[in-house]
Amino acid sequence: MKNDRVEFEPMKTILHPKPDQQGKQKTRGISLVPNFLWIFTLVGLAAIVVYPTLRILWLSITDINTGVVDFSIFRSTLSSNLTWRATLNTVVMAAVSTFIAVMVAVPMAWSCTRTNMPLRGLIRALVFLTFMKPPILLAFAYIIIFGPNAGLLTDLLNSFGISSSIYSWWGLIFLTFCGAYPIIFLTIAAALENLDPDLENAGLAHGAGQLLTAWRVTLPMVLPAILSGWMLSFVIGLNNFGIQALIAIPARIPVLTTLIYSHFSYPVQFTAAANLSLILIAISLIITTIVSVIVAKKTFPTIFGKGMKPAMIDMGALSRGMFLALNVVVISVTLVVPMMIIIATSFLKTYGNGFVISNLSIDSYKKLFHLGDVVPSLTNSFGLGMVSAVLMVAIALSLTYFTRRKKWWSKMARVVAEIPFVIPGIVLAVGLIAAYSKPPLILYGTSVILVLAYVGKFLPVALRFTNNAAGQVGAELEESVYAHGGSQMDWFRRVFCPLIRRGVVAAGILSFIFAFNELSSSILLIGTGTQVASTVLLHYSEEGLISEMNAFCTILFIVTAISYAFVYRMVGRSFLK
Amino acid sequence: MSAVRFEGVSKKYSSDSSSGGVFDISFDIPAGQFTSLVGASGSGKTTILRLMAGFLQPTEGKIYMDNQIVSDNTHSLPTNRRDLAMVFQSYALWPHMTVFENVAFGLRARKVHKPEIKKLVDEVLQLVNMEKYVERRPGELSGGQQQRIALARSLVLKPRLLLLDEPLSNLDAELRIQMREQLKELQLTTGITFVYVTHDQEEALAMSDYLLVLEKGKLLQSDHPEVVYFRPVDARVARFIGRAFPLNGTLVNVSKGGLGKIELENSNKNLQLLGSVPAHTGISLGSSVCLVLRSEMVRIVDSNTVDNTSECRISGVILSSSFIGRENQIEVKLETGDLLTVYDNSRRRFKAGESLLLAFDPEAAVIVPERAG
Amino acid sequence: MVLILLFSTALLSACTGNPAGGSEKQHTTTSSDLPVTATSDSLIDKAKQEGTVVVYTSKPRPISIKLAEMFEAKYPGIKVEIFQAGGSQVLSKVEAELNAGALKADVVDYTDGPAIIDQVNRGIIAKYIPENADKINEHLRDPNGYWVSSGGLVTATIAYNSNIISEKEAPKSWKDLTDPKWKGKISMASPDYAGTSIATIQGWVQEFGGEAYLKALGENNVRVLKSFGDTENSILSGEAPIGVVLSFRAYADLVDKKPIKIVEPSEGQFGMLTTVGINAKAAHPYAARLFENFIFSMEYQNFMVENHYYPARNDVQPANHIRPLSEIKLIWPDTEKLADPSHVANIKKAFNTHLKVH
Repeated sequence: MKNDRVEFEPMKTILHPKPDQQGKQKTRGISLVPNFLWIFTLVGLAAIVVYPTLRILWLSITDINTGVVDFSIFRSTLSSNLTWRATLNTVVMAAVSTFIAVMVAVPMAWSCTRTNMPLRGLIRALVFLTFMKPPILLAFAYIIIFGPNAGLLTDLLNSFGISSSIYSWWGLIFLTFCGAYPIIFLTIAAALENLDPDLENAGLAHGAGQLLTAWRVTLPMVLPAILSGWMLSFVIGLNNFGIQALIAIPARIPVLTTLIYSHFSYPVQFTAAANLSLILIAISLIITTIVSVIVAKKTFPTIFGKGMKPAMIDMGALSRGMFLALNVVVISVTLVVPMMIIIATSFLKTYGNGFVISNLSIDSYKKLFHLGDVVPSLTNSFGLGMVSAVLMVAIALSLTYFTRRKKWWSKMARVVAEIPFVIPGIVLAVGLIAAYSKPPLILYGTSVILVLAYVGKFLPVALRFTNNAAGQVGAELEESVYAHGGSQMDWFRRVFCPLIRRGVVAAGILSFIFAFNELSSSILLIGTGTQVASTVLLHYSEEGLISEMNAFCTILFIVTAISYAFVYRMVGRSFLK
Repeated sequence: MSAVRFEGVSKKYSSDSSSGGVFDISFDIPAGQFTSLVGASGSGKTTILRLMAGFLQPTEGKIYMDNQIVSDNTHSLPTNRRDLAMVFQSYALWPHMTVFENVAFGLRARKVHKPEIKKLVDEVLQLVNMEKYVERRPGELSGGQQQRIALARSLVLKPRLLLLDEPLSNLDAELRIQMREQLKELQLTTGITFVYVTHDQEEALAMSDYLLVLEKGKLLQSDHPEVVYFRPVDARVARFIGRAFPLNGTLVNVSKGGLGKIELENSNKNLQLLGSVPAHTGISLGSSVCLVLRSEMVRIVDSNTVDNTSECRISGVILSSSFIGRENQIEVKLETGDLLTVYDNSRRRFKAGESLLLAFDPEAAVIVPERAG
Repeated sequence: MVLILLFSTALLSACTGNPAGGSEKQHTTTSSDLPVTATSDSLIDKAKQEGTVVVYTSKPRPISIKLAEMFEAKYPGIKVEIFQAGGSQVLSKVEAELNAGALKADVVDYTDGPAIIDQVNRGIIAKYIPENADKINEHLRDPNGYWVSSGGLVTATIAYNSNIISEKEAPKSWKDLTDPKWKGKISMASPDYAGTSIATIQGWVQEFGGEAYLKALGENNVRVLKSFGDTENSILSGEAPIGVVLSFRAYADLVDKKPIKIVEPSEGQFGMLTTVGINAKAAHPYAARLFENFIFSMEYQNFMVENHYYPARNDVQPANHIRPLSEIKLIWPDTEKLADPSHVANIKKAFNTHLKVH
């Protein structure tokens, strides 16, 4: 794509169309507004991402008490055997679980978007719900089902000689998988829907069967989406503290996040924690770079100026049944069954006395509401999530827009924006506290700091969606605007934004969900009286308020389901045209 | 008056000339006419169109529109201020807008009043016979319909310049011919300067008032189609426009009547043929030249007939012959080793391997340099 | 963008109420002007002028909230702003703020008690001896006057699920936890996340002389969970029917008729130090001191009793269902050692190695 558009660079002066006055009359013209946008995007990135990250880097090479540069902790961290064992465990855990997730998500997404499989709409909705609910809910549920000694199914399996405790590698990988596959599914489903059906038809026309076409034509076309979804879930898998703390610690599998968090108890060692997060950053930068290079090579614009018609593949009864079974099984084990367990448990009068009628009551809910955290924490989570999502989308959109210019600095900005995503939340929180506790900018202690954390952390999620959407918009659609007298603003407002609006809405919703569920930075950043739902849940779990915890989980799940229904009504209608 | 003028324009993508681009190009595009940029793929025709559009900025040289400079290597007037419109090869219709919104886009950008927009859009849709499809989205239209909407979207602006980038290449053969005529007609009725990019020389000849022939980033010839056809500046143009079969040789003599005699290469018999040497071509005696033969200039003669003095003769062997209805198409390998296609409607049967004698009128065959300039 | 930012800020302040810290006024009072001890009556006026006290606490949520309510009811006009989280989180937040050069808390309250001694040594904590200090258990206050107990005495002991294990076969001592019949059936909180666990480990190291006991626990596959809450849930669900618990939580479960029984280990229970201190640079120094005094008021001490704690004051009796202190053997893990960061790092490492956590 020779999209050499140097001449529209914002700062460029515009030639006055009279030869004799060439170069004398300079006007700043139409490009001024996007120019401002760009500057604010860069400033935002610097404030939200660069500065706190630098503080963390600084922290990792200085003596915290004297403030002098000191590599000794850095060296001892890197030379520790445990560090590398945890690194290996982390990578294996993330790699295996996301590999399984890709294997499962690809056929699910394909059957839900491109075929006439029954219930496909419902399944998509449920996958989305799986993605929306706080990830830690599943861990709670599976501890009930597969907890050692007392799990609902553990004893049964044990009697067959199967050791099935959730505190094990399989538990860790399974729960990481549960968090990973919906992300991959959603990314692929979006890409599949935007794919020009003619490309598939061409495969069919050249004698390939439906499955062969899916394999040889459709799959390569959505490969960038698969890779990008995989990368996202891999990076999330690296750094999923909630699940790792609940499972990896008792499973005695040291991973980087648990190791990092272990430095946050007495004696608190920020430097060691920061050092360990550098390893996480390094892993994710390597993966991100490799995948970006591959994706950049393999991204084909698929929205051209031609429209598209939906095409549904008519599957035979056998394959229909097989795909449906896969979908139903996955949805059951990752959503339906665990949520039913949590809901049922929340209605137990006494946890530990079993599921009998006499032991049912709504006491948990009474106690929960007596604590008075539900409404304020949900309100805060919603408010903070909304504001963060709006900001994330604004920045992501602006970055995506400017990255289309393919300038090295806009690419740099993209890479920089990826970094905080893998910094364990609690370390990022330390960076933010270090960065914004002193004049000139005292943001710590206000809710703005939480927004900064959420925006900084989840910007890559928003970016990936806006970018996927933008990558599908062919360059000629932009040129076509200028060629019909439209300005850059016309292009941005009237063509670019509407064309990627589905991607933008998706980015907004996803960013919101991530922000809503964020736990590990929130722990340190919430102020006095500013609880958010995820930290409340954590505290209940830590304090053994298990009935309250299950009741709150149930409420969170119901709120999530209602929000989903709401989003679907609001967005589904107008954007699924 | 020239609508567009290129003065020594180069656009280099890298220092290596094989990587595409255009090199030192100068031409004038006549206003109010239909001009085609023709050349094989990679010849730089699309680059030139994009330079005109302002999507690209020249590395060297200047571009003028209506005698006002619009681009040089430091400045470039943005596309949207050039008062032009463009029909893209992919049509580039905005998929989220209806036909009406697509067509009205440019008018809205120009802040035309709403009722006026409605009127203009209706008019132009009528012009392209698409008035029934106002509320459709591009995805609901066929290729030909989309093409017409893309055209309407551009025409409605009444631009001083309309750029068309192979707009017919995605259509089937029948529709192409039909659209060709419509396009030509639209150009005549609107009087807008059309600049049309195509790799199809036949299409270019059929539609254009003016032709620019390009090869490998260089402008070979710019003139009216008849001139390009009958007086190609060199063998490259002749080969591309109208499928000529140039025979290489050396110019040995030029008569007062403008007939040149050339000695053909690859000919052990020292075969000499005659052809016309256009005035002011500046071909010197002894230089390598080409004699441009075209199928329609050559006829098959009976080797027994007496040589008519005004004609030149050359012999060859039939490689293949096929009956294509109106006539036979015969591929001949000339005694010089060059290939030539001749047509014969005498109902005579030709066999591969058979010898054949061909004759042509030297006045019609033009002698050109292998490479001009 | 600017608009969005402004809008966001406005929306945020609307939705989250008062921001943390809320230190609008910078007080010029230097620590030398501040009283080393004072009666509540003498503090009220200045505390009311300050209007706010910022408390970082790792006390259980319901107790923290009630404490704030009680204080606000007694001293109307002084708002208690509470940050409540797990022990190590509170400590981390304090350390992160110290690292940034701005500790916002006026009062800190650690379950990870001895951690405060390190901060005292670093000059972060103000010297203050609260009203009624003479009535506080001598183990629960700093002889130098920098820290005091956070109001109650917490002990670490053993508990088991009474639906699964009978009283007869239940473990009777810490030593019994190494009995192979309990292999894989015991859980405890990780010292990496639950600070109080560190004191328990120190207690074992003291009591059993070195790391042998940790090694034995490791061989018995004792499961290490993230928190005491997780341990409690694991006992109740039967995942690991035996666990190392904090007594007040176990008593609370008992009162709730949950299937749990508390063991009085023959070696003794471990006394856990939870500490309160005042920020030497507190923005609300008088309110902070008033707050600390309040912790040792009769009303709050009685509230602690209601919540199954051993009260810090010697003149207040624990609840009836709780075995009185006089009847239990109490082992105090060495506070000096627990205050030494490198010693703590070492025993954590030893624990993690023997229990195969890392």
